[in-house]
Amino acid sequence: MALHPLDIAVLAAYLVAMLVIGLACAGAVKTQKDLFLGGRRFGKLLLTFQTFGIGTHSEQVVAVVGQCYRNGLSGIWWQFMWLFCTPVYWMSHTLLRRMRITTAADYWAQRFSPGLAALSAVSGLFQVTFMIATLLKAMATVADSVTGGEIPPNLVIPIAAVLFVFYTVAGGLYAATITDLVQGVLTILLSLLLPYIFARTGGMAGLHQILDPSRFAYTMPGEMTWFYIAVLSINSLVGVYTGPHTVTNAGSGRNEWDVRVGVMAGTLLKRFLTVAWAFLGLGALALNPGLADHEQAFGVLVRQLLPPGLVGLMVAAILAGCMSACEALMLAGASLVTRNLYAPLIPARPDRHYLGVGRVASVAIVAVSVVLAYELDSVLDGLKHVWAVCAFMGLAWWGGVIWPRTTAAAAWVSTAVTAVMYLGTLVYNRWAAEHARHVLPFAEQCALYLACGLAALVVTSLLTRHRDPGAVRRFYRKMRTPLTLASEFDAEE
Amino acid sequence: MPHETTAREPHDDGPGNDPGGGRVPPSCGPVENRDAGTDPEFGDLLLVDLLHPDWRNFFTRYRTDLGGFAVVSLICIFIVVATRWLAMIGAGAGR
Repeated sequence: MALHPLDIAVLAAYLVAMLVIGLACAGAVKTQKDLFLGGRRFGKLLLTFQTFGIGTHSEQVVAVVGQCYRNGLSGIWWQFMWLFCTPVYWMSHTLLRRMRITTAADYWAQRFSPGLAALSAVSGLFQVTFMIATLLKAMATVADSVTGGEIPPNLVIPIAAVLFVFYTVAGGLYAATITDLVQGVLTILLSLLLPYIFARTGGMAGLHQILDPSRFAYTMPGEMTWFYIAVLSINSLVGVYTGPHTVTNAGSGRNEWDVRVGVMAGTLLKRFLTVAWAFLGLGALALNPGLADHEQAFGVLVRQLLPPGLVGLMVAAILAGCMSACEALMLAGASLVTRNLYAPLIPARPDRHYLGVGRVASVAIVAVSVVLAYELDSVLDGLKHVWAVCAFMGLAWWGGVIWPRTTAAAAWVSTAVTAVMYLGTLVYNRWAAEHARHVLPFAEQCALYLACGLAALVVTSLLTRHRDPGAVRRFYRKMRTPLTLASEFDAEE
Repeated sequence: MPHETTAREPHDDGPGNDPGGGRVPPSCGPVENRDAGTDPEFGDLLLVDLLHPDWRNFFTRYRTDLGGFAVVSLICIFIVVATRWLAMIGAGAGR
């Protein structure tokens, strides 16, 4: 299938618009804070779309549509498993803003020790590089599926990378967030297929006439159990704040209230759209039963239903869904390199110097990610490793906020125990597979390493002391001082 | 016994001293719970005080956290229930 000239024109218009936004915002970036946190001036609207952009990727649409195509409505739980964490975000994202930090590693430096800050920076850099690579790979696969091979995956990866690097390095988080707004609207348009499906099938009544009633069941015995959902929800909540991009998200808000409302609106927007994606999957099953690969369901629908022009818009939306997440990840990684790895080694330079370092680091991170993207075989397997790595330091992160007695030594031990237990389960699973024994599912792996890590955190905290009790006191004093009160912490803003 | 160090210690200079005299910059959104600035032992974020909350003023001190949590929880329940309801529209049409 050749792309219609109208589709190519729409796609080109989108790419040019992104470049123009980047150039227009370039003048606003004068300091590190401008580059990495948009000057901490974002209100509810920008935070909504920034949250939505960071949290929503094109391959999630394809995955939900594909899972619902394969398993019926119960496939929605592949995204809804995060639903139960959502109310906690209302309370927890504010913690990041209250900390007045610029990078995820800053928290570790303030609450624990410089060593843990360095570990956090390295771990965060790994996460960022791996996640960008995974997203680029997924985006190329989706674009290939939607255009029926018209756009080669090997070409999509470098083009998208060059584009988002250019406008983000030029315009910093300002440009990234304004493009998030545009890209968020485009991502919402991915659900545009629904009216076309209902027109073909005769609405929901038509779907019920075509599909077996079991396709509308809400549960999936054996595959998506309540235990699986509960453990993955806890695991994601444990690890969510070790991801460096969450600080970029919450830290850029102008005040705590805007962070709460913006983050929650962006998150709930994604939850509502997930419902639409699930019905796309049911529609795909009704219209095209018997597809060999269920992940092709979305691409086939696009090619089948949309007129010229809208196919191009859909490809633009897929690029948008990926790039909006990549740009935030890139900036988060660059801030870790600049502030937590480079600045401690080469201190006391002008802010302009570090701004330049941040820009160079951005380019370098994406260059490594592009190379990695070509080497990735399985997107889902890659993501599982990222989820696990996020949780390694997550228990200590929460311990540091909730339990004043949590010590740096306990954070080290807990991180090490969690990592060793995860690697241990990987080794065991390999052995079990070879000897026909019970292979631990991912949820059981998570439950095991989280339980051991938590036990290690508590026991070590009870047995050790704080090296710098004054720093811990100061941290809690800050956490009990709202941004709206003038305080000794204003200089950290 | 390890030395537990928190802002709860009596010699600690907490935000209760309010060095800014309670100044609230304009146009910064709703003012966070002002009680937070009056007692160094507690703040207004429930997660920070989770293991030793201010039970006496629980619903006033943590009202922003509790209210939002309740509303968002209801929205999440609504999403789950509404999805099921949407899926069953037209089910009576039969096969």
